[in-house]
Amino acid sequence: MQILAAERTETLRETLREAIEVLGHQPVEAVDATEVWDALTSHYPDVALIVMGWDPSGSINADLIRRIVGHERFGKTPIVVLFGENETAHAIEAFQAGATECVSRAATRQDLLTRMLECLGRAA
Amino acid sequence: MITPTLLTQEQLSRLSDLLEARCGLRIGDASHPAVLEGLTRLMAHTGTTTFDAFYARATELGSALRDQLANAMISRETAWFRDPEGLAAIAASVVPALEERLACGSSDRIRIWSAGCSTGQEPYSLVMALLSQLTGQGLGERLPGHYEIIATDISPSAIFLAVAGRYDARTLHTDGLPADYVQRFFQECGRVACIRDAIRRSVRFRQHDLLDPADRLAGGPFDIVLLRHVLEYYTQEHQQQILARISGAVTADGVLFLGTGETLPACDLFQEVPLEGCVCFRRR
Repeated sequence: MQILAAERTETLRETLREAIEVLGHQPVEAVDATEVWDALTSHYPDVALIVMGWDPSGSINADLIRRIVGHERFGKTPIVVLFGENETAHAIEAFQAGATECVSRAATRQDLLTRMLECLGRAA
Repeated sequence: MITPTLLTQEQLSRLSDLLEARCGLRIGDASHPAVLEGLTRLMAHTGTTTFDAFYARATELGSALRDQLANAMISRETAWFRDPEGLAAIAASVVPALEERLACGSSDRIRIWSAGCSTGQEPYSLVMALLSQLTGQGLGERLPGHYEIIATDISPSAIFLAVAGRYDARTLHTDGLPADYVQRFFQECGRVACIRDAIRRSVRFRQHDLLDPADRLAGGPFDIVLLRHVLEYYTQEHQQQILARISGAVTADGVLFLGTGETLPACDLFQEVPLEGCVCFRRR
């Protein structure tokens, strides 16, 4: 199965790539909402999880989560949101929009992996 | 909206008291990044926007509180060869004495328990240290048959990852693992490094809550227990319970290892034994 890593910065996308491969899944990448949608459409139904780096000034935001959650085909795909330090408000907004889990960008690799794994379990 | 860093010391203190009273969890320094990260997630989960609303919600969660808080607040921080002096002492000082016991036939195996093993780095590091020591003595082949290493953690996800034995290759090189160990004990496949099967099969992983009776870890008493950087998450009362369970789960001369810099909470179950570079605690 595939995991979609939606993140604007290359550095964090690299970290997500590693995490996804450690979990034994294949990474699919996107840098904005348009690419997220293209990836979900072209890889359907193989994307088991979406991990997105919250980017309120860009397009990876609550609107994108609501659009995915409300979609008849993609709506059940769990979504993990990565948020920055001191961004509790964004985490709350992400949960309210329908995110499955939120993880701080400062979390340890083990924490990120276990949260992703838990979300994959919820999708199973 | 509030953020944890904007919480007052008094609010963090109230929350800390609640966690201790209801969950037996001690969050220690409430301003620690890992604690704030957990608190942020909890607040986001509950959708609360003021401390009072969050606090009221947290007090209402009842029996679900413990698991939820434990999962959110406990950091799975771990590393390869963390506190290497403890692993070196086990391999160089403790195991040789146990090997003598095996040689004279007074026991048939050496049992080791890595308690709170997170995603497996500690028990796998121990196997590497033991293999290096035993191989140096021409005894490398003894590990599979004569050593039984049990590793436990409360988190099923952490255990799943530990059993898989897959790690990102980049961090192996930056986490303090000796370069020759990477070649010897891992199989690198692109960005992923898989622990070699011989090492992986040396450890049996189980999900286990340290507050549960240790006799659920069937197979007899342990000669060595590693309980490193775990007790700090528990209240004094629960620390005593955990130590009592471990005392009941070790052999008459079994030893306990804590993390570097950790001290044994006041108890009459173990006595300190100095080793080269570190200390361990022998059952009284």
